[in-house]
Amino acid sequence: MFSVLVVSRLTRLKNIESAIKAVSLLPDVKLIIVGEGPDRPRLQSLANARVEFKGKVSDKELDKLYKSCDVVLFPVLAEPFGLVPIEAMKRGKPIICSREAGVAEIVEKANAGIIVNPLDIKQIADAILLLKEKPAMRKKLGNAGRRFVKGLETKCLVEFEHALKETVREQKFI
Amino acid sequence: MRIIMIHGQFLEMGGAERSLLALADGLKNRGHEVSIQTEFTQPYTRKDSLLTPFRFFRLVNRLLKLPDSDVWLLSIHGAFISCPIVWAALFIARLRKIPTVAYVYEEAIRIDKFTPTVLKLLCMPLIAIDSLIFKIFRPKTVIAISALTARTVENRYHVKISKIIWPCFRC
Repeated sequence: MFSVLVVSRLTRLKNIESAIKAVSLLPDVKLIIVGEGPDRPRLQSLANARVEFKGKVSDKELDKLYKSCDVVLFPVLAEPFGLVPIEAMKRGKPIICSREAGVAEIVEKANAGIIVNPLDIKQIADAILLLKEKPAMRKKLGNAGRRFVKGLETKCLVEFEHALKETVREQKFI
Repeated sequence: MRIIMIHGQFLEMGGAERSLLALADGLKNRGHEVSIQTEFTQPYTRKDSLLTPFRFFRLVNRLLKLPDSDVWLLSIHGAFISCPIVWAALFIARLRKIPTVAYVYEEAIRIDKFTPTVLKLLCMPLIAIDSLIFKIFRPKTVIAISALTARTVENRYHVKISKIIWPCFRC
């Protein structure tokens, strides 16, 4: 069965509810949810048999789950950045990413996934369906993400180091 | 360079904490001397997170006694309790003539779609104070982690973002 992975703390802001509702619209799609949080009982009451709650998992198990899923979904309502899509890109997985996440700009730039409105259940379901039906597209997006992320950390670090050095060199207060 | 990172809130291993540690490790690996100063050190729990006057005093005291360094990196992320720590750090850095870099992970006061209107109104004076303190003791460089964060901070706090640098990560 086609599997969609969500990795998140289970709170309302993370909008797992939309993921559950989107998957319930699609046959032969299962949703794996990794993470714990206060919203878990409510989410469990919304979920059908194709939704699996994994709770907190070890890094090793998380790595396995990333590798075995088909798509990673990041449906947050508000997030300044979001490391999950980066982790997915590193493993060559396509992402369906909320437009309300700061990381969406990377996903878009890398052409590593599909950007959606997190409150539009149909749009999320359509994106999952599109990726389910087009394995070549999944592969293309996954590879693009993997290529983009390679070396990104070093690039960010060098930029940061440069900013720190510049600040120290100028040594003046406004 | 001798870099001191000041991270007000270390309550759980969220994205801000993970990327901060990755940044600290990365800078260390590039030959810098890095230390992290934090008042709350209870990862994975949200207990014992109240900023009491005693804790605030203890943190201020600690910041005053820190050894000389080339730059202070202030990690700013979403919680009310971060604000007084950032305010104190900006003030003490100015006293000690240490340049500061603010790394805005998320706006210091998190207001989102789920925040009730009453709370939003109550936040307004705090945002105004935050904004004013940022203007008076302005860090030399203000870095935002994404264009989205930069837009929010510029609109809400009227603080000019110097650079956007995506966070470091370890996957």
